[in-house]
Formats: sequence, structure tokens, C-alpha cells
Amino acid sequence: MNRLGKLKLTACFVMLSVGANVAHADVVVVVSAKCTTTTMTAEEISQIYLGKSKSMKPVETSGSPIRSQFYSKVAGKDEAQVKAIWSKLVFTGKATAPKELPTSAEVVKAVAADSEAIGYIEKSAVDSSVRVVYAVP
Amino acid sequence: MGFSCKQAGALLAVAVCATAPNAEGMTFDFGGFGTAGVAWADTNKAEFARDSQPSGADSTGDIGLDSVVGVQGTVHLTSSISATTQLMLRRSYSRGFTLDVPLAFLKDAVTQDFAVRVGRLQLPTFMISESRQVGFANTFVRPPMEVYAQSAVDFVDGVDGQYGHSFGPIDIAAGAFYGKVDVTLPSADVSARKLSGANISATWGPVTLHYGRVVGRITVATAADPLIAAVGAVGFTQLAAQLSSVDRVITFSDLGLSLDWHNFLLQGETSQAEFGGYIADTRGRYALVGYRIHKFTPYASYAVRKVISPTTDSTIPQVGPLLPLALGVDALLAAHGQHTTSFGVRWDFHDSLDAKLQIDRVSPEGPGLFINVKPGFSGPVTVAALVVDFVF
Repeated sequence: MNRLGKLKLTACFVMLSVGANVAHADVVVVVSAKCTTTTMTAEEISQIYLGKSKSMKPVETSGSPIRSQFYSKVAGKDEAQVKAIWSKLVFTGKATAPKELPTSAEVVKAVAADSEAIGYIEKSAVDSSVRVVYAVP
Repeated sequence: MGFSCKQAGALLAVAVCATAPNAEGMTFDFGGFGTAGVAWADTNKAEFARDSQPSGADSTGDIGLDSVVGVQGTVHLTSSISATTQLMLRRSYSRGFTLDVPLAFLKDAVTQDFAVRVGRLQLPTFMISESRQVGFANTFVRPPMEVYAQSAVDFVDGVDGQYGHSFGPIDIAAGAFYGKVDVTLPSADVSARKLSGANISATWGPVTLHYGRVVGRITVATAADPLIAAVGAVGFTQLAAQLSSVDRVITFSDLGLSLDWHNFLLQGETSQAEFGGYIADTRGRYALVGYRIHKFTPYASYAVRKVISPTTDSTIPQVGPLLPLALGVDALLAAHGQHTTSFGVRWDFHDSLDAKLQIDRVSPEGPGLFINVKPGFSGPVTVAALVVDFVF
């Protein structure tokens, strides 16, 4: 392989990694800073966000690009599957779907204000009012 | 209000910061679901219907078989008490589209694991009874009638308790109810009393096992009542008592399994329905397999219904003046099995929208579960359905 070829390959590789970084923002799961909970497992978070556990009140950003990343990494489900699971729970009157808020900033605000709330946001949106309990891989 | 959060015990390390939820005011949730569908059957001598629908699909095409729209609102009065009402427009017990109220209850989430509901509730007879109208929540276009048409009653007015808890990796959901219901079907008035039941499902990773049981006492008033009275009047009092559908014990039991492992789907149920009186006891079973390929889920299913009680009676001699009565009794006891092989594909083409195409090859014994059967009808019948499901 000549030099130019190698260069092209490297360029491609760099572009691919940049692409991957854009698609996968660092996403973290947060609870109120007033909670002493320091870590949670993906299993526990998944149980809350799929309606199997009512131990906390899930909050999320509506129409956010981090949503599919969160559900696929934490629960192993795509968005249609998650919606199907919730439509089963909601329309049988058994549970209320995660509360949707327009922005990550509002998710932070809602989680900070409610000791039972849990949210997932971009790492960059974390402030001192919330505590990170899980980093989405 | 002070916040004092605490970490949950070591056994179940779910983060519980239980003491001080945010005291928000009254909130309101609204949502809905629906299916727009059209179905055809390759016969014009009978109609393929769901449940107790009085008309169904034949060769002219039918939008009433699978189409439905439901809306639901919940008012959260306090952090634990809420009121929910669901309205649903579909073809149910009459020919046109009618507005039902499948849910209308007050709920008190007593603890994180336990809630009590009072009001109009969906009858949890089979594994997906409560969500069977929500096409988006299901793989197939409609649950197999071989199982789901065994119960003509969808809802109950009463009280239930719902329990859910995770024991390590196993999620348990259980419920128990008590209530009554009166419904007017196309050909009968059904009154069920002392209806009670319990169900439990356990989910471990991709596998869910479900068991449910419903018992009660029903009285069914139909055009057959004078015939039963005549049987008694001519001296066959024991037979008349056997046929009577007044205050009879009914029992439904259902065992279900579902598996969602990687992209592989498996779902099946085996159920039994026992009615006192002339209504046939039946057993219904189905199995569905599917495989998710990106946005497409092709699937296949097989369903079978068997009649497990006698469909003829020889008490009245089939000769002389009593012949019409004897034939009448046999007509009353008549019930038919059916089996169906189905193929379909679900396409999740948009967020909150899916489209499905399903072809059923329905093989009835005699008329099977077909309705409005005309002379000369015989199976098997192919039913094709094209639907779009949505949630909002």
C-alpha cells in the first residue's frame, strides 16, 4: 500500500471516529443531589424506565437524540419496543409513562426538586443540583 | 418540607429516596391508541368476526373488524390517588361503531408495590386480554379468536389490587379482582355476578410466564330459554336443569408464555373455559413465533379451539312428536372447533406507528367461529388484513 492510500485510510478512520462521537454523546443518569444514593445498576434503571419498578419517578427529554442511545444501552430495546411496552402498561391503566420535559435543563430542574425523580441527560448538562448515579456506556 | 433521602437495603439496591417526593399540584395525562384496518375473507357465505361482533369480514371487505380508536385521560389528584377514564370507539356488540368505556377507575397507589383500583376495569381473563385492542402493543393484528373469543365479556365493575415487585432479576406482577358485569350481546343478555380472579406473571430476563384464573356465576338470557322450559315441561326436568343457563358457575384458566430474546419472539397460551348449562366448554391454544429484522418483524402463528363438552344429547328420543324438541336440544348444544394458521409481518415504519399485513388460513369444523353463516358454507377460509396501528 502506498503512502497516499495509508493517508486516505487514516483520514477515513478519523472521520468515522468523529462521526461516532457525534452520534454517541456522553449520557448520564441523575438523581437529586439531596439523595445519598451514589450508584445504580443498568438493571435497576431499566426496571424503572420500563415500568417494572415504581421505586422512582422517571423523567426524560421529549424527542431527544440521546433517547435511543439510553434505551438501547440500558435496556437493550429500541424506541418502538419501549413505546410498545409502555402502551401496554398505560392503556391497561397500570402505570404512567415517564414524564417528558422539553429540555435537559428542565429534566435537571425536575430531578433536583424531587427526591423520588430520576432522569438521564447529556453529561454536559449536569450541575451541582443533581448527582450522577450511572454513566451510560 | 425537608429532603432526607436514604439508600435502599442491601438485598434490593434500588435507589429509593422515599421520604420526600415533590409536592406538585394536580396533573393530567392524556393519550390514545388506535388501528385503521381493512380485512377481506374469500367467502361470501359467512363472516369472520372478533369476539362478539355481530358482523365481520367477507369478500366485500370490512373496516370494522380491526379498526379501533381509544383515548385515555388520567387526573393525578395527589401523588398517590388518580382517576382514569378510557373511551374506545369500535365495533363491539352492535353492527356499527359504538363508544365503550373500557376503563373508568379511581386508583390509590398505596405503596410503591401495591395499588388498589375501584370502578370499571378490563377483565384479565387471558394473558393479553387487557391490552388486546392496543394493536401497537402486540405483534399480531388481533389475538387468535380460538382463545380470545372464549370470553364474550371484556370488562368488570368492581375492585382490584395490583402488585408489582422485583425480586433480584425476577419481576413479579400480580393482580386480583372482584366484581360484576351486565352486558347485552347480539343474541344474549349476560349477567355475571361474584366474578373474581387472580393472575400472576413472572419475568426473568427475556422470559415471562403468566397464569390467570377467573371464576364467577353467570346468567345468560337468550332465545333458547323457551326451548329449555319446554324440555322441562314435557318431563325431562333433569335435562332442563343441566341445560339451564341461569346462575351457572363459569371458570376460565389460562397459562401463557412469552419470550423476547435478542430478536427472537415467542408467545403462546393454553386456556380452558368452562360454562355450566348448554354453553360448550372449550379449550383454546396458540403459539406465535417472530423474528425482528430491523424495522420488520415477520411472524407465524397457529391457533386451535376444541370443544370439550358433549355437543349432542340422547335423553329425548329422536322419534315421534318429541323429535323437534330433541333436535332443538342438539342445536342448542352444537359447538364447533376451529384451527388457524397465520403469517404476517409487522413494520415499525415510524415512531409510534406500525403497519401490519396478516394472512390467516382459517379451518372451521362446520361453521367454526364464523357468523352469519349461509347454506353451502364450508372452510377453509383465507382472511387477509392490512392495518396501521398508532399511539399518541
